[in-house]
Amino acid sequence: MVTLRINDIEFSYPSVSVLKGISMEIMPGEIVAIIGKNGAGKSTLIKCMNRILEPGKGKVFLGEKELKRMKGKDIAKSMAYLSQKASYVFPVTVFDVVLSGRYPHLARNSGQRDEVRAAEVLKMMELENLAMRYFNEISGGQQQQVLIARALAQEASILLLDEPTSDLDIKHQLEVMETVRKLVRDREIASVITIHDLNLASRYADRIVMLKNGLIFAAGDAASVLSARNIAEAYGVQVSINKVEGRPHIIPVCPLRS
Amino acid sequence: MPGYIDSRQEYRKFIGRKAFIIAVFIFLIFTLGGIAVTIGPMKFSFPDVYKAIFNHFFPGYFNIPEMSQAVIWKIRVPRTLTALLAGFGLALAGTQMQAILRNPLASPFTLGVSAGAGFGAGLATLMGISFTGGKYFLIGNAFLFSLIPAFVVFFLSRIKRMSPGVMVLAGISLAYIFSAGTMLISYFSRAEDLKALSLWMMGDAGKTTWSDLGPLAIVLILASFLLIGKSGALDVMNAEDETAKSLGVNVERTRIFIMAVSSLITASVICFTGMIGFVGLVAPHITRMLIGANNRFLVPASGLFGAAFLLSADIISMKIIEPSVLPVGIVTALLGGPLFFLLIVKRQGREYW
Repeated sequence: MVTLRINDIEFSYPSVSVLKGISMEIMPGEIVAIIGKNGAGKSTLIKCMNRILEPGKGKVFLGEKELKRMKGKDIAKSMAYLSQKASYVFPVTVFDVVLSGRYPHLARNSGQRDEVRAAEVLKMMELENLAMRYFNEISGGQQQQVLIARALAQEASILLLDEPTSDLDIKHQLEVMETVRKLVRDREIASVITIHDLNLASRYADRIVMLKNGLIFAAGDAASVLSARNIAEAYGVQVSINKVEGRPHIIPVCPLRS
Repeated sequence: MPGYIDSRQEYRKFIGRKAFIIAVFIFLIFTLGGIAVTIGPMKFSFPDVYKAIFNHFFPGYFNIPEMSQAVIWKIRVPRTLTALLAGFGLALAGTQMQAILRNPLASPFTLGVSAGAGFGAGLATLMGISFTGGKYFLIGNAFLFSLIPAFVVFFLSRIKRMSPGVMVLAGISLAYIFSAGTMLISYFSRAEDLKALSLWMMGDAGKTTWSDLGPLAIVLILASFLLIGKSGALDVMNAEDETAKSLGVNVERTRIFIMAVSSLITASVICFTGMIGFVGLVAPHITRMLIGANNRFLVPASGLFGAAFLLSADIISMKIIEPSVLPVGIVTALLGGPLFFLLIVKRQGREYW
């Protein structure tokens, strides 16, 4: 189990600067939710965490090693990433998708052991009946579960999820979050999740990081970050907050004029 | 643990079917190959063909007239092999281009390879300008020019990061530039030279001899090994770039490498045959319908299917107005097109691309 350390990173696209100096640490066995309005830099931040994007300034450390100096496959052995819009251009089976998670561990093509591994993961996730279905033909919620299975086949100890619940109905949202929580608890995996639904963040995250304009605006447990004042500042929305099971439950009231 | 054995056994069955289809393709190639060699002014039976080929390696084993032996080995077999190798190469390159560009419209010609070859051939035929001499006056020039687009795209991508979409656009632009160049020199050329050029461009499997097949076969064999070795990375690149990167694939480098190898394959094929269209675009699609998108199987299967497809087209091109022979480049699209439409109409449900 490794710790991911981010040290004052900055990232700019040619015309806009997105991240303006962010530092944080991800510990094994915790779920960290990254929240913030559209354009705040959530997805960019998560992509900088496993070098899909390279930060212009600052360093990222995986354990003792600097990410920049690592081989792509070695990063992939520790960190799995689930993109916002997973798509396969040409039709492949669920089994093949999960098997592709073995890629960083292979010298050449996948072998029997990798197939066994993929099958074990599918069984564990109770997805065996989907194994021979085509990925593009299963529901969005099932797709997320399959991608999590792929991450497990990858044997990653850090799970980066970019808006895993955005396109899902409420049942599938909960199922995905429950799956992640179970993995994090059972296997000491760490998980970083960008998410729009503040109540899901409140309910499932051990820690919440709120971004505003490319900087960390607030960080900590749900009760401290999800205050009406913070949300008004970061999102420009007036909310009323109740407590449900000891955690804040947010009800949006109206947008604030800026 | 019956559970996990189940999904793996299902997968094994699924893989087994793919292996079976590949075996069928190989059988088909030997059958069609034998049939193709029988066609021509001198008639042979199917067994005679394989007897003569066997005799070449073990002289005197079968009793075949020397004349027949010579016609089969020196004229017919090279043509058949050319069709097979060309079909294999073009389909293989097409599969790769579609995979790395994540685009079902990609083909070996997408990056302007054929337009480059056309211009090179044009310069040689119409203007008498060639960077290579002697026997390879035209072939060598076509080969060199067909590699230019790949180099241009390669260097552009070094300077500026290029998405697959931009790479396709760059290739298409280069194709237009080369085509305009060819039209320009055509405009100032004599009619008989133009006829020679357009005949070359039509694509024909009958222009090669044994001495041409050696280099072609070597390029194809080496390239196939390189490409099949990359099939794991290609499978991962079936997902969007971010996912592929997160799994440890060096997406940009893989894309450039495969583009270079595919261009080399295409250039090597079309400099000997002229432009044979359609195979490289459609053979990968038809094979994908039959065998799925798993590149470990798709790459060899698509090559084999392309070989069988082009050979079938060549058989038809030799038969359709016998004793005359049509350029096979005409037949591939004229027959392959409707076949492809039929498959599109008949396929149910699943999107294959």
